[in-house]
Amino acid sequence: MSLHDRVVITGLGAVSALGLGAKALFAGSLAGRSGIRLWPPEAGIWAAAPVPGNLGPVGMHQLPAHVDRHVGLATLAVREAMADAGLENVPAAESASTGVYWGTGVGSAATVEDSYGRLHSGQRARPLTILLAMQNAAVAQIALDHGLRGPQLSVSQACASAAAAIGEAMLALRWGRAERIVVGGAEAPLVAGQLQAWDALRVLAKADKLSPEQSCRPFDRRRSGLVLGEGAAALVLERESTARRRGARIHAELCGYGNAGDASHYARPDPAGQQRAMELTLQDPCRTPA
Amino acid sequence: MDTRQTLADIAIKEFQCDPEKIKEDASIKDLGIDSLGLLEFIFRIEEVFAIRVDNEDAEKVQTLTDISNLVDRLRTMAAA
Repeated sequence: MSLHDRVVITGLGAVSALGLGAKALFAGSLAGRSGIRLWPPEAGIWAAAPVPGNLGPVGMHQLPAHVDRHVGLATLAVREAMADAGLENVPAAESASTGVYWGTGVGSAATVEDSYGRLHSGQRARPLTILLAMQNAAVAQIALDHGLRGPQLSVSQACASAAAAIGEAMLALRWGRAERIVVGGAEAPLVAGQLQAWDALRVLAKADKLSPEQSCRPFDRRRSGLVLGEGAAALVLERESTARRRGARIHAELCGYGNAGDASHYARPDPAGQQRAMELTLQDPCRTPA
Repeated sequence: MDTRQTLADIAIKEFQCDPEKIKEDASIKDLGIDSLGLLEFIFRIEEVFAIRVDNEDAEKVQTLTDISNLVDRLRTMAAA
């Protein structure tokens, strides 16, 4: 094991409004397809980008009942990434050196909403509410699903949650804290309480009733805000020596990470902070080819 | 409402337990209900039978017969 090992990506997985699988996401993006539609389907109040109903995590094999939707989506994406990496079955000897770093901003929105719904209608909270609503619920389920006993970290950093989880995992791999870390992020905020709260912040795009799929129009003079979506994406990161040893297919190398704060505003990023994060990434000592 | 039959129905329909194992009165664990599943199971029967199971009793049950006996005892106490 070299302390200067590079970190490589050996598995990809995703579930999104464009379908099940990283390929569906990539192909849909390249084709300029939009997954945005009126939401919820029967009322059509908002514009949102839901995972198509028949592709979601309902009734998945070996997924406990009642897990939050973001955990189900995370499980789908990670199963794909692990299969892509040829790691459907992680050898027992590698379990303790395989970790999970996962990001989510909102977390278990539906579980929390269900819990408050019960509270305000005189019903008791479900027995597993705490466990299923914890911000590390996805990490716990991913680790259980694949028998991963390496280091774990749940990252909640707003829109940068998954990016930070990926970057921190890269640093941990460089430090030799693990040989392999499953990383990514998941969100499933398309519940009434979340949509109303985002709407109250006056940042949601007005639903285009005639062309719902065009409700999100960045850089357009008719733009009216952001559109909430749901989904998950997962990567398998490995130390290069570990990946080479087992003959894994390497998709790409991950070679830089920067993390900087603004201390200026809750929601309006300061460009200087973004610039410093990017500069830190570019200054990463491992970025220069050996 | 037959306690035993109601419990078996819940176990089979809502917790996907094997009907054959229920006939043999296997342990809750052998029915495929782990410790967290048991919390959900007891929560459900509290609703169905309108009873409250205290933590001490919840810790002791190991078979469906144990739960059936517990439910009958609590229902009798509630009716008294």
